[in-house]
Amino acid sequence: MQGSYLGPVWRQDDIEARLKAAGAVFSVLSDDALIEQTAQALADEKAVGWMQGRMEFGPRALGGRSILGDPRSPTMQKMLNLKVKYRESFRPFAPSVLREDVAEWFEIDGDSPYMLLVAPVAEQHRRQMTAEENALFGIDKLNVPRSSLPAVTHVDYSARIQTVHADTNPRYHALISAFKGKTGCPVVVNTSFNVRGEPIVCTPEDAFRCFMGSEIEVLTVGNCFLKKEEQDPALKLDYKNAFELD
Amino acid sequence: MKILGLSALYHDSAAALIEDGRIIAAAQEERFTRKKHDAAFPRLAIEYCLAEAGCGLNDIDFVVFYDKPFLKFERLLETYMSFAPRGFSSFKTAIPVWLKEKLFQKDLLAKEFKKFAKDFDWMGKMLFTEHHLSHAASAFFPSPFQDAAVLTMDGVGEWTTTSLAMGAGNSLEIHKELHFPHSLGLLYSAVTYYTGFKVNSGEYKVMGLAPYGEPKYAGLILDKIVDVKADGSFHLDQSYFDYCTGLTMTNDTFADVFGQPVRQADKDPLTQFHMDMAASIQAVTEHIVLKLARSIRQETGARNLCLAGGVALNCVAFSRRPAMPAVPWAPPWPAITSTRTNPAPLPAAARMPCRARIWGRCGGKTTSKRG
Repeated sequence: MQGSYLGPVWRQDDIEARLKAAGAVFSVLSDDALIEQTAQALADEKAVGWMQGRMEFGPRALGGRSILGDPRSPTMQKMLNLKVKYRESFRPFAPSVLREDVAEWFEIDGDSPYMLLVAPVAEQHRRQMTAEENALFGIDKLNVPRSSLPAVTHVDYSARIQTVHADTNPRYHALISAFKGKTGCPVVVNTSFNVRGEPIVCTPEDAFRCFMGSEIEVLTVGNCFLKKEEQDPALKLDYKNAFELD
Repeated sequence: MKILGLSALYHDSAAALIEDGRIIAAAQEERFTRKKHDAAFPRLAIEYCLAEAGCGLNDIDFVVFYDKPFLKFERLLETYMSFAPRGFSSFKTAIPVWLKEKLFQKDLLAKEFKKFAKDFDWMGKMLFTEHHLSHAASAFFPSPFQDAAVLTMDGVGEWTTTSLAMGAGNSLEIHKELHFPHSLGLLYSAVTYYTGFKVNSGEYKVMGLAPYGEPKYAGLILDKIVDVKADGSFHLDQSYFDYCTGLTMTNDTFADVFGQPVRQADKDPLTQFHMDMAASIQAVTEHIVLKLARSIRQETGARNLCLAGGVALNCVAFSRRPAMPAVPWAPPWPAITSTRTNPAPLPAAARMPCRARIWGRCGGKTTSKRG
């Protein structure tokens, strides 16, 4: 099985030319620096657009066209929903976890490379709710952190898991490993790289537009690294109204 | 040997290219047109696949389409015949659309193909496969198993709503089928409609709501609406539904059972009742799926299980291990949380000897051991 990375990919020189033409300001990093700086942005609780390698086939973003975040942050879920994806939600996001660490963090010890299996957060990472918190209703209930990974833990402690494997997506695996090195946490929030109603991004231009039209703070496309504060404010888009709601 | 697989003109058009059993490229048309769920002829996706494979259309040996238009038309006609004259209003609406678009899908496709490449011998190279077989193939052939049972559960494919296929090496055969209107996907969609969400896209919201509720109505659903047999096969009591004849999913009898009218999304708030309904349909789904999985294991002795189709990929249902008799394998391509599935265009094409088998089946009717 070759994974679901079956879509288009761009060469580094092509990415640079396309981003330049779109008016983007970026630096070109070595592989190591790219991983290091992206992991640091995640640890600083920044929303990161991650466009690397071939696009996934099918509805799930699996680390090729993903928006990533720090799952330990109690505000990450709300921030991603409201400021990045522009959707209301009673659901938290899904985690990507290093395959070798999955059993330590979730009650499952197997492969789930396509984000299809659901498992509870491991007991030692859960937080017990008070009676008062349990009586809350709907979204209020969801807003109470119930584990050390609040952004990816559902009200019943479950999470829809993607295991990340060094052989099928080495760069994504390296990124999560670097994040673990900084934080001790081998898990990141992974949601598809789009806003509500928009198809997942395909080209470097799509990624740049979505970056400029949302509050994604850092964008990586191949070895190009973009910071929101360095971009020309005139290129910011009123993006969320560009797509019909689903 | 190069095979181009296509899914088009329904929802989420896509193309895939397979060379000597290896998937070279696959993509959905929406990514290129930037129009979500784009159902148009996948012109750009095909161009991408050809470019990725470094070949032209003339190098393609076969083009496989995921569906057989005529089987669907037959279902539509037979449904309306058996429910006449109650079904006339939806018959009036649906039939002209089918006549215009679906029945002549092959012609429509031919026209699109001609527009795409005038001189290519499309009809000589075109193969059609049955919807459920496409689903089953999309799970089994890329799976790590040499042999496996394949459970496909879908809203409605052609006639089939639930099927068991057995795969071994390069062969894949349907062993059993449940037919429309007995469909777990449609039951899930009925509750989706009843709780005020959009059918065919709101199913994932119902699944997401379920953990906020208690499955208080699961007993009632199993008691009145769906009759589950010991082997997991089931029968839906049609007196609660309106999808066979009307233009809505459920009727007043359905609402009376649970004591509340259909929620109007624009004015009625979501309450604990709706969360309990969501938890209940989720519990019923899991109950049926686990029963099916266990009976498949018992009956076939298969150690491996592949899952396909929208309902089968309701991910919560399949994570209830160790209740599941085998660790299931499912492909990433169908939309997993709703009955809105994307029958991957990979299927028939994934391994060459299988193509011949599937082609051989196209003329005949799939035999069903269970009605």
